[in-house]
Amino acid sequence: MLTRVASGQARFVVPGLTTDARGIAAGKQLALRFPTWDRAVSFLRVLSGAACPDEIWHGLRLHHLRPTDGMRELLIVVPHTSSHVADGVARAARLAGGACFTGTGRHFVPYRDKDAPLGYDAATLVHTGDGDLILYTANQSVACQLQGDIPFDSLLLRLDLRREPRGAQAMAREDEAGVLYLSCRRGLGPVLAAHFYRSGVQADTAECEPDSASPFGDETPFWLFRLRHVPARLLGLVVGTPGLQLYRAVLDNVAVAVGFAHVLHLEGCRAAVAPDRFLLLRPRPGRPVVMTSPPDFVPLGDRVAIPGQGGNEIATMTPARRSATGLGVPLRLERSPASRPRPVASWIPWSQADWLRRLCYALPTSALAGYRLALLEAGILVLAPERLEGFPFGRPLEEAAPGVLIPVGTCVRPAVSPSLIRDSLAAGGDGTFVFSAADAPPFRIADESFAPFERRVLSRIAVSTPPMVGALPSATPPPGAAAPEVENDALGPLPVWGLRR
Amino acid sequence: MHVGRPIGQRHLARILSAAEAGSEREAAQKLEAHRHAEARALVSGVQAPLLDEATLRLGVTVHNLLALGHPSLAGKANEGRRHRIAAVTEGLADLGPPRSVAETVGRHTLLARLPDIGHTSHLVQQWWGQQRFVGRTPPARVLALPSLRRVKHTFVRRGWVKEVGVAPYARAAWLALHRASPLAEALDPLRLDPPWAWERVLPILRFAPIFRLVAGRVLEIGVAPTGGAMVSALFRLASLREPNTGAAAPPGHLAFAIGFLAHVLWLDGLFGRASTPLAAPELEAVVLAASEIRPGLVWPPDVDATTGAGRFFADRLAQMRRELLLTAPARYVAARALCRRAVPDMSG
Repeated sequence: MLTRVASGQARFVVPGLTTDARGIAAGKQLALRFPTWDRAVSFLRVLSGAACPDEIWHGLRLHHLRPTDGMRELLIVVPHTSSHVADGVARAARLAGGACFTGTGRHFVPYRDKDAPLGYDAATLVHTGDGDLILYTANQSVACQLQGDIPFDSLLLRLDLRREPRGAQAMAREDEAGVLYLSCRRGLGPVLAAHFYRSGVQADTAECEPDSASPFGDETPFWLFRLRHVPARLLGLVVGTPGLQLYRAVLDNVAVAVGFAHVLHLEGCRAAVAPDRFLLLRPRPGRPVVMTSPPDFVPLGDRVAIPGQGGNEIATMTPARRSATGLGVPLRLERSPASRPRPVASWIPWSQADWLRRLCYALPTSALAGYRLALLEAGILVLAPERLEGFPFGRPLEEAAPGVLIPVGTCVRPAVSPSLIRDSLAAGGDGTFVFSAADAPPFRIADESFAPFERRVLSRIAVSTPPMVGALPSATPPPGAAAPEVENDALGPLPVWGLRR
Repeated sequence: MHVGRPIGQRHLARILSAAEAGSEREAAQKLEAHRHAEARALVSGVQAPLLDEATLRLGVTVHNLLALGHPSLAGKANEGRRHRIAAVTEGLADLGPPRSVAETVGRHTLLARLPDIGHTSHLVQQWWGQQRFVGRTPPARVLALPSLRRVKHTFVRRGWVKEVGVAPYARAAWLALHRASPLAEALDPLRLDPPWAWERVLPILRFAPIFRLVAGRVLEIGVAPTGGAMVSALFRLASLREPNTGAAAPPGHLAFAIGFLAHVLWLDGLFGRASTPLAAPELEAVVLAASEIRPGLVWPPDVDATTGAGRFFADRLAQMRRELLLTAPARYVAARALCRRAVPDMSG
């Protein structure tokens, strides 16, 4: 029933099949057929864990499928964007025990595998009025009926959560840096809010009302806290108190109960989750909480009644009439033996220039390419982008502030902030400011004075021109040259005798 | 190409000593001339490749991989033998990436026609049954008296690389062969197996002549078809999903690969066919994201945005941005995440 697509084949029996740039035959869709639910879920789990583009998840559709004279199965249809992506989807489907087909519209043939690297085509086209789609396999062609769609969101909510072996408290401690949500009954809300406020927890809170499918549903309104940082001492409280449920934010609008994980890697299938709903997923016997809009969070402090808000009197001071510039002192360098040396530059007098020339032969490429050089009348400044290494002479300089270099082993006094040092020096113009010695005044080197080290080190090189040849010889095989053909010779007895690693 | 008994280390040592002693000098000179012509067509001024140990090891690797498909080694009973051959071959092929332009080109000249290799499979049907001869001509006795014995002879030629492929247990040897000589892979971004992998191609792209050669080849095939394959490979490199990758791809490797893609797009715009915007959306998304995150990844240091070329490229980037945000915002977001990994101070 199937034929293998040959290299360079352009016409196909199955309508809608085309070849891509690699010569692989495929349609516009991939149809993944699974006999059971668990295999389909296993496929979605593998696919969500792989690096699968969002287009696949945007276009993913689930259907019930009933082959003629067969049991009900599941069909997942995804768009075929490129053969690189389709290879990954097909691999995941086969790994989960499903079959991968490709086609456009109604006729689907198996996607390429190791037996047919360029894909399959049908030997003859089946024209039958039965069935919404026809799947061609090696032995037969099956007409199938599509029986209803299954929204991906409803599948997401139907799947049970898995218990994480690490335990809820350990997971909450690991997620300390992330966002946690805490839900509680409405009566507990104000008390809990006051407790969090007194404990200095950074939180927002909202009152939520879940969507009820029925007027007789048992969903009750609740308070939801968004916690940014929970101190370790409070973890026991929020994890172990009955009536409180802690959630870990997995996506912007999906949170999963701490201590549990969803069967699918939700981060991977973000595009398939409806962005306008807010989901709280919790283990059985609880049911997932679905809200049609994200909760309106307000800062915790705004919901807490603070007693004793009397009018505090604030004293105002009048500014001194005397100008503060009278306290100005000049910058001074002092010895600082405790500082850890981290030289970024070297100040080399001209008397040591010959040493520098000889050192050029020993420096690695990265140093020659990365270091910059400024040739001044007083000496040479070698500046590294991060750390200067391999200079056994000259005066090593380190950075006291961005663009301010001081000798290693000294520090600037008064100990004002680096940005202030830079601002006070840069009042006369930008550049690099250098204190070449503890008692020397600083000087400025303009940025234009620096040049890459490697451009300065090479002297003029004498270059000769070798004689040219007329034309390049052609390496393409001469016309009529046969392609290499394998000829299998007789191997004789014991063909791998003496073959050792 | 004659495929016989698999060759191991000891046999290889004997071949090497015979080659050094000057046996089959005429054949060696002919091979050298062909390889030199092939090498000069790729890189001008390169010297004639030597028939050294690395060359022989690569040749033996190809021979042993072909021997795995030998009909005498087929079947369940020979599975252990095939695994043994694959293990020995992997050790022979494991030469590591080439260390110079001459070595890159020299190794490639031996394997350049690998995609052309194929074998013919003959099927002879008679009144009592059928016989298959793979890579062998059916003997005359089998084809004798065709009308009396109702002999029907059909044959089909199958390409080794594209249609037959290498068995899974020999995959390590197959990858080691491409690691040792990655130029063929670099010159064919649309290949099926193994697909383009930056970790194999990057070591030779660091050589300027090879960089120019590969970029020229990509332009020749077209930026639109090759862009998707190269960007898919870049995502594999960044996401650690390629098999046999032990450590995270360093930001420098990602930055270099993005630089290559940008170079190709520059050449396409300035000298090539100047594909219409979003002809290669994956490639353009990466280059656009890189230009926004760290312009140095995309803009050459000696090109100013105020020059004609700079204005042209800036206009193209702006056009790409408009189109991408309209049609494929998810792809653009993914490309930004990738490019952030290429910048050391943002990759953490």
